[in-house]
Amino acid sequence: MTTRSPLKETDANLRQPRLHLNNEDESSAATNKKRALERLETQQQQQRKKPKAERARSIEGAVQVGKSTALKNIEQKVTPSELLEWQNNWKKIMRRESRIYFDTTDESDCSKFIKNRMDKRRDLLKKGFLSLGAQITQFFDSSVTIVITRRSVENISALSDSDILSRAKKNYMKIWGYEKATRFLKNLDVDLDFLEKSKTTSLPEPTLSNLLQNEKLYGPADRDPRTRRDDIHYFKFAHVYMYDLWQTWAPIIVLEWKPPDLADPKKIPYPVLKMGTFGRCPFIGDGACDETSYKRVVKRCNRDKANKKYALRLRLLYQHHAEPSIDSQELMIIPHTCLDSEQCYENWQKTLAAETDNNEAAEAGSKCIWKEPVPATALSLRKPLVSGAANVLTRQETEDFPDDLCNSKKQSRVTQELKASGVHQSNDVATSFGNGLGPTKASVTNRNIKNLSRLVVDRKLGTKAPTAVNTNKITPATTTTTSTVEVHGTGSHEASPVVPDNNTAEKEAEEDSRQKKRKTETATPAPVARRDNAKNSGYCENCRVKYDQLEQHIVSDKHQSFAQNDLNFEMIDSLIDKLKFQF
Amino acid sequence: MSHEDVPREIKDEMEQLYEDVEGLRDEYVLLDKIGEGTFSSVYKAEDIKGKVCQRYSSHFWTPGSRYVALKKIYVTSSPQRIYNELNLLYMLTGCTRVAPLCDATRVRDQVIAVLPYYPHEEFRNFYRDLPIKGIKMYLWEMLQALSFVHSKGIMHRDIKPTNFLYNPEIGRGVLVDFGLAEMQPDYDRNEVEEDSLASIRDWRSHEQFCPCIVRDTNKQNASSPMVTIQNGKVVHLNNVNGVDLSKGYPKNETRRIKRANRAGTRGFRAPEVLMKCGSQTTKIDIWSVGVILLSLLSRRFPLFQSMDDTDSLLELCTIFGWKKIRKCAALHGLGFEVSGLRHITENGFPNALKEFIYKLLDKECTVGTFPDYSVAFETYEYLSQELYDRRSIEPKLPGSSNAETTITTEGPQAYELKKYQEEIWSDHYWCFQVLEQCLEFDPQKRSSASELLQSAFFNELNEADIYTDVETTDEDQMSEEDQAVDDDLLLIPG
Repeated sequence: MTTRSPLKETDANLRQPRLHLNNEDESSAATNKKRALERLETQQQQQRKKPKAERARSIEGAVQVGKSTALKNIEQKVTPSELLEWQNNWKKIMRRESRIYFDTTDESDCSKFIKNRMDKRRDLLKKGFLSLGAQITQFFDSSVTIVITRRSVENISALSDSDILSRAKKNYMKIWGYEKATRFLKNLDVDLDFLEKSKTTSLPEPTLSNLLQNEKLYGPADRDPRTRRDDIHYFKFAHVYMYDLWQTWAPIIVLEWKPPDLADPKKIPYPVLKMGTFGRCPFIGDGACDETSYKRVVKRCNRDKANKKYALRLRLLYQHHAEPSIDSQELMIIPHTCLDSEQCYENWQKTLAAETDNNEAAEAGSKCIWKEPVPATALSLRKPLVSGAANVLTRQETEDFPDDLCNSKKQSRVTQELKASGVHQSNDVATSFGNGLGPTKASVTNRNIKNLSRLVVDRKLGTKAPTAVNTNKITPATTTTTSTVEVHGTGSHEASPVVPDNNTAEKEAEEDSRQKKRKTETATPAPVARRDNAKNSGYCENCRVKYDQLEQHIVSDKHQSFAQNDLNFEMIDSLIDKLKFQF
Repeated sequence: MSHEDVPREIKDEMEQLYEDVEGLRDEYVLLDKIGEGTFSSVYKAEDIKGKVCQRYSSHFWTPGSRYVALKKIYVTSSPQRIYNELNLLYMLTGCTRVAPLCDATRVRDQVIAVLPYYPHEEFRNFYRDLPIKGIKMYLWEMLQALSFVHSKGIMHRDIKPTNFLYNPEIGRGVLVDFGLAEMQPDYDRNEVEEDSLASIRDWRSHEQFCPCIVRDTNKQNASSPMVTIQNGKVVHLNNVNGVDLSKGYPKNETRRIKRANRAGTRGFRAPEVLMKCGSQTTKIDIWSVGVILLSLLSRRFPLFQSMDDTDSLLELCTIFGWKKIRKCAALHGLGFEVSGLRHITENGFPNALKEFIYKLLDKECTVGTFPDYSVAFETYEYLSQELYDRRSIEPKLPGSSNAETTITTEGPQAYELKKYQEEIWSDHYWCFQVLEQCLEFDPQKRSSASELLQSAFFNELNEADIYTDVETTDEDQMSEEDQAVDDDLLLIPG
């Protein structure tokens, strides 16, 4: 051994025997305080072999010891106070400046069994050092102070210059074998046996009492893993944090809000259950829609009437069997004790009738026409969603959002396809989607506008996955009945329905409204223009380029050379052949 | 039916397609454009020779229908992506609840896939009105489809109402759009388990690895740190690098950002998808089924409306409480802290899903937004009885004590109604159980599609033993009125 390991693993190193030793040799202790451990070590060594002649550095650098003094001290014993001092010194060093790197290289002729055993020992040692507050680094760099290796530390000079161990030696780092590290920990009263047994609960939870206890033990040391560090941002305010317990990966969620951000209970920046009614998403709620208002009650009542036939048919179909069948025309309806839309309507009628002085309202009510002035708030909401800087669509969802229920559209079973269309009449993204229950009327416009306004605000967290899904800045409108648009997401996938989706118009009865819809589409030039900008740009997965004009791109040499090369489509062709074969 | 009203632009587009794909004209007549997505446009077409319709007749809902859906896959899609989708469809041919790939053709970079045309009803047109037995049929069809898909080792990844075409009139549904689907990789947990703690450390740096697959069901394997995670005692792992990162994050992040397949639709993504689990399984589809069922029972759609995955998790937090999310996070080797957020509690709704659904229905019942004929009242009454009136096990007729009610409390009519209610009540009971099985946070504990199909909820369908045969001739089962309805008018009620 070129580097001496003064601490041998023997019973003598334990506290009680040492006390005993001390009593035996009290007189010499005081003069040789600092060499206590040396002596302790050599006492045991003597019994087996001669002390090492070569000795560049002393025990763990705490004290520099010359060759001669060391030899002189051979016979001296360790006193408890010396040991304590040594321990305190090292504990301080461990906490404050030790950066330990575990060499990952194995001895070349290492069986899997041995490797596993060594791995277990390594983990144990790591725990031991961690319990002392030392820092264990994953990577070797010049800040490392101790390298712990499972290779032999005797022939470091024989290793190549690029080897971790020779680099460590050149940088005057300590290089310890597992044996030595174990002895070192034992001498610092680290109970490795205990750690091994209690593997699963090796470190106590960082509760307040734990922290206080640690502080008592170690003092307010910088290197305590649980004390604050400058390079870590600690949460001060309300936050959400999802992180890798093993610290291999960056956190998944990091969100923190300053108190002013949460001050307004109406603008809470995270999902809140608003409950809502009328089939609306409970996280969106009713927003500006007052379902108890006369206007809404009348609308709902009309809608329900229009829908009644269909709903009752469903009830009959599924009344007694899961397989749809109509056994009888007799409807089973369990009476309910709740308020329903018809009752709401009747209640309003009564209220209005009572207000004899308000003839106009009563008249309006009887005709089911709403004549109340439009509230100012409702008007202010009636503008299309503006795509501001914040509205960055980063991920294309395959979900098609139904309309807001609050816009003035008339719905009936017959004109159902219209439900997918229309401008969102709210400038709040969160409230701009509905569920198809909204009554529909002529304000229906281009479904593209809806898609354009389907902008997803990205929080721009540092933790966002850099998947292709997130790479699109603004992903253009994707569904339209009229355009030849081709839209391109890179990693995400938009629904490509096999069968009529929202914009299908399969029923002849719908044709009328459909014509209307298409007319209105052309009548709204502004959104169409915006769509045109986006519609032709996209990403070609084959050429791996972004393009501004699809038509230009697909005739480009690059794309054509790809398209013309049958080799690129071999797999698809073989599949098609299989399909053709069946006929 | 006339398609003369098809607008000019679409006509041009279809004309262009005829030109791009020579030979198409001989096989199909393009009728209209019926859908458009990121990677494809879908046209309704007629199969001129009828060979597709004949070959795949069991898949067509309307007997004798010659309508097919032509999927034009955009030329900017990579052949790998196209092949993946078409090949999965091809592999899945053989189940009437999965849209089969009937035909395909390629001209240069233009690929066309031909699938049956399904006259379905849109979800948002029936989710408010579908009775509990209708929900049962919907779910039955969906789970049958998934059971088949999963048996082939395929994850659909994008289960949601728009990808499951259902026709309530005939009680048939079909799963479509396998554009995001993929084979579930073989996560060999034995291989991982044999290794020691040290190499699990190394495993952690694999993106495909997630500690959730190496949990041991028997707790004897206490030396494995994964068991520690399972028990929720995970704090000791925080210190691996000598820094406690449970209370803060490094200002200068040097660690890699974990990527995981998160394809799908927000609001329908399973927790493990949101947590970027690297070992996702077919169970992610079951979660999505649960979300749809939640929608149907609470009569809300969409149910979740999150801007991103973080919001999705917080939405789950508001319902289930952060404790459950934290426990789930621990399964995937993650820590989770929520602090200072109003409305987000430790335990969420006391009875979780039932309470949540009850509160949603209650809101509507108080404001009066259900029509008088709504089936939602059944669920509402069932829940108010189960949650707040546990004394009586028997179904109680609300208002039966009320003398003014139109339903007499005696006579054969009352008996019929009572019988009906008992049936509906028991359906609800089992349905909520299915819901809870679907929305189980631990993917290993979450039931599979085939397990769910064995639920007592589906007893009447399992006993009837219908539709379970993969290639049954379903035309025979079409009822008279269905046949009377024209293909294109099928969905108009009455």
